[in-house]
Amino acid sequence: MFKSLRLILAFAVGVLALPLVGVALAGAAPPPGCVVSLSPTATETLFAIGAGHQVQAVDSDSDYPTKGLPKKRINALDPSVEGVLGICKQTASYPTTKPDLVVISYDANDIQQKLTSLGVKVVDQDAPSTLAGAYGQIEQLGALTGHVKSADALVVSLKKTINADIASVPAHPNKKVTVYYEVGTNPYYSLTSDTFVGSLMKSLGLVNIADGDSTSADAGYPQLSAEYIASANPKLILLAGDASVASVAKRTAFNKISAVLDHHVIELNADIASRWGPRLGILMNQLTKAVRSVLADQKLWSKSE
Amino acid sequence: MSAGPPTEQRVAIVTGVTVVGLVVAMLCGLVVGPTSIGTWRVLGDVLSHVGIGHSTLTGLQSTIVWQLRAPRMVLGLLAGAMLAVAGGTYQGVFRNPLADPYLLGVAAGAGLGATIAIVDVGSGLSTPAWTPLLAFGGAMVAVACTWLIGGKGLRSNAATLILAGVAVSALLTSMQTFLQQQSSANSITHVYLWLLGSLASADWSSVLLVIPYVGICILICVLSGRALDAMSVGEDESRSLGVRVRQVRLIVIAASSLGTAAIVSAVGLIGFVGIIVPHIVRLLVGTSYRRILPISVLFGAAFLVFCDTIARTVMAPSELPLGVVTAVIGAPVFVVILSLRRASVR
Amino acid sequence: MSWVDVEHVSVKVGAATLISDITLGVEPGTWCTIIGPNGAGKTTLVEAVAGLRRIASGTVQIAGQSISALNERERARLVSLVPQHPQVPAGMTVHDYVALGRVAYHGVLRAPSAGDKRVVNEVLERLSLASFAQRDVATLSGGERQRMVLARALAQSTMVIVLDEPTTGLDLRHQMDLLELLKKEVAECGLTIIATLHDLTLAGQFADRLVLLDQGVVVIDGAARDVIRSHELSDHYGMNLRVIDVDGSDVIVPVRN
Repeated sequence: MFKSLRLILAFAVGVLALPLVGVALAGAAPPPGCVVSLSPTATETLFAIGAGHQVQAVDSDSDYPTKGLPKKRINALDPSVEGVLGICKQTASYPTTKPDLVVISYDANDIQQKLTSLGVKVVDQDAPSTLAGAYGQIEQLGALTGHVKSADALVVSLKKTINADIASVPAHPNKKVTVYYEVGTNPYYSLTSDTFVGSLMKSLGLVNIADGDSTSADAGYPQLSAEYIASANPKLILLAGDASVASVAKRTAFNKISAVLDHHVIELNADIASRWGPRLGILMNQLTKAVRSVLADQKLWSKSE
Repeated sequence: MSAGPPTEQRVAIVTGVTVVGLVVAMLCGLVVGPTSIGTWRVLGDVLSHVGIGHSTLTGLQSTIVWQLRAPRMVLGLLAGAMLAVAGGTYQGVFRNPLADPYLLGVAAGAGLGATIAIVDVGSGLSTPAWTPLLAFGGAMVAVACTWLIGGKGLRSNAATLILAGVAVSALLTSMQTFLQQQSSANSITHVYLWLLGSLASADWSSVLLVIPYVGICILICVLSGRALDAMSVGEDESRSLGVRVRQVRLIVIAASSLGTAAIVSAVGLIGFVGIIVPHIVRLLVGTSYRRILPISVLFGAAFLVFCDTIARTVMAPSELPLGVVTAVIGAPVFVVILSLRRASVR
Repeated sequence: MSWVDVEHVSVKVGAATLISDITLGVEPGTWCTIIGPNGAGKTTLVEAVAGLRRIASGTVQIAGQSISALNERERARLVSLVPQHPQVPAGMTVHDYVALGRVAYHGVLRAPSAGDKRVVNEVLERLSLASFAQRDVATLSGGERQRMVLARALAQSTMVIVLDEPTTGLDLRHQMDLLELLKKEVAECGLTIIATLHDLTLAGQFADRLVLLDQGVVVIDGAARDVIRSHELSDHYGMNLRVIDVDGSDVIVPVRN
């Protein structure tokens, strides 16, 4: 009897072992040993999903996370293709200096075509046009670096906080919340709903004064005159450039604007506002808070619009 | 350096040194780079291509040398040679030491063309192939406008052409700025970097595209040296000497502009080479364009490849804009030669 | 038919007529000087003869060929020009400058032939410039420079030379030297000269023929000896001019009333 028990046990172990062998064989492509990130957003994402140890070089604008970034820096706007080809540390397990994954958000010096023709996988993760696009980029990096689970988890958690924030904004069909989003000062540069942040604001029901009534396709960052901003009289001003709330209050052209008078001028962290990675939740949180405070301000809505 | 018109001996020495410099620059273009591949190993590889010995380079290293460094070096030679000879030719035709190859609107036209391509005005233009084409087209349209507005070179005053060039450049630059303004930050950056000029995107296909234009134009410019010397006595006098001033001007300006436009479409606006190399050569070999132009071809080629080697190596794994390097190196060289010459005249 | 035939030539610039209906003929081997007050159109006339001005009406013929029908190179073999203010490019040697006169023969694409070089050296010798041959043109004095420009014109081996105020900026000694040199060329080589001069005495002493131009038209045209003694001359210069014979040469002096 023991003999047949051992047989059954052996058989059971064998059967149980098969799926494990299958999994081992299926995951045959090893995760990339040398990743180069030329996009600050991608850098944040890579580190957030646990792929940080695979990253051997980042671009000079990558500054988050504050600890753990590799020392090698590359100027993403003027990278040396040859330099990138020689950037990886050669070890027994990774015998070449060529990276196996390069993430860019801007194709400088024809780098995408050149590296691809030399067998390097290059992924262009430029600014997406929707939230779904941003989530998609996180998932893509997860799949490419072998961190699918952590990427999915990150997306799920982002969706949770962001959807909650979006839901917290009450419906306001009769209230037009106009917004001026400042990217640059003197002259005043704004952004339209064609941009990523612009699309986020639109999804929250904000009316962007920079949209004007033009349907010009590539008008992403128009320059607005003080006169135009003043006459549009936005209820909310978001500062994503160098200006501070105090300095805006001092501007003579602006001191009659509704947002200034009712103290609805909010400073955003310029880095967070220009990236679409793991810290998206913080950005959405700031945006929704700003919208809610404007909607809650009874003074603005007592008169007819 | 003696102050009188240069002797044949001095010209020979300068030519010899320039040729040596050119060969050294070409070697640097192949051997030096952010990834260190041994000098002798690269030379060994070069020799193996002509059947002597075997190469010891890995596949990646060989690709770096022959697909990245070599086309870049060749494009640098062509660009440096063309810009230098075009600058010298313009200086001769306009008898103006401030002339550079972008004088008649080539820069503004190419910049506008490139901006249109990059900013994607009208759909379907944003593929990489369109940028050089539109840059080239823009440059030639600008020069044609300048030519027509400036009186087709018929008026005896060359200054009219220069003024027309100023007007055309101003107009096209403002149109370019307007377009840039309307576009996204990415496009603005892209255009700005294009304007700075760079050899970084060089590959063999762009080299082959540019060679026929540039080759012919350099030849025409160099052959015009004698005519330019004859024209240095002014338009009326040179006509009385039998020089067909209008024809010469048309041919020479067309060749310089065409070659420059071809280069600009491939590498953007590399400044400084066109204006300063002819001056340096003039200080060394005198005022005869018969000598200045061919030596400028060699000097310009060597100078640009040398500067590009620095631009792509000192800040590895990033690059320096080429225009910065040409200015930082060219200006002191010019000042040194200028002061040596002044000292000897005293 | 004369060697140089100017027939009813007018030159206009815009609405202004600079010279109108000028007719004169210059025989080969003679020296014709154009005189006249400032603004009379002297420079315009000689530039038209040299083919540098667009002729509104009329023709200029040299050796029977209409110069407007010729291209620059053909014209340059017929007539050469010594301008009033020549542009002298610094850095060029005297030899190379004079050699420019041969461009009409070897063209702008080819180097000078042995024959061209011989002509240049010969001219340099004749004008006593051989020792200056390798000097920078900017280092020459006024007199030497003027000789060099003349050398270039002579190197062009033309039968007609047109000179516009060739004595400009020269001291008296150099003025005489230059004019004597020209006279010699006329005598020895049969050169035909058309020159403008403002100095009436020099004009009278060296020219065979004088033409007085005033306000764009020919007023007097005749042998030098006769023109300088004419009443018309005094009238047009608006002053009392007397001719005095000094050692066989005519000297013209203005006399104060």
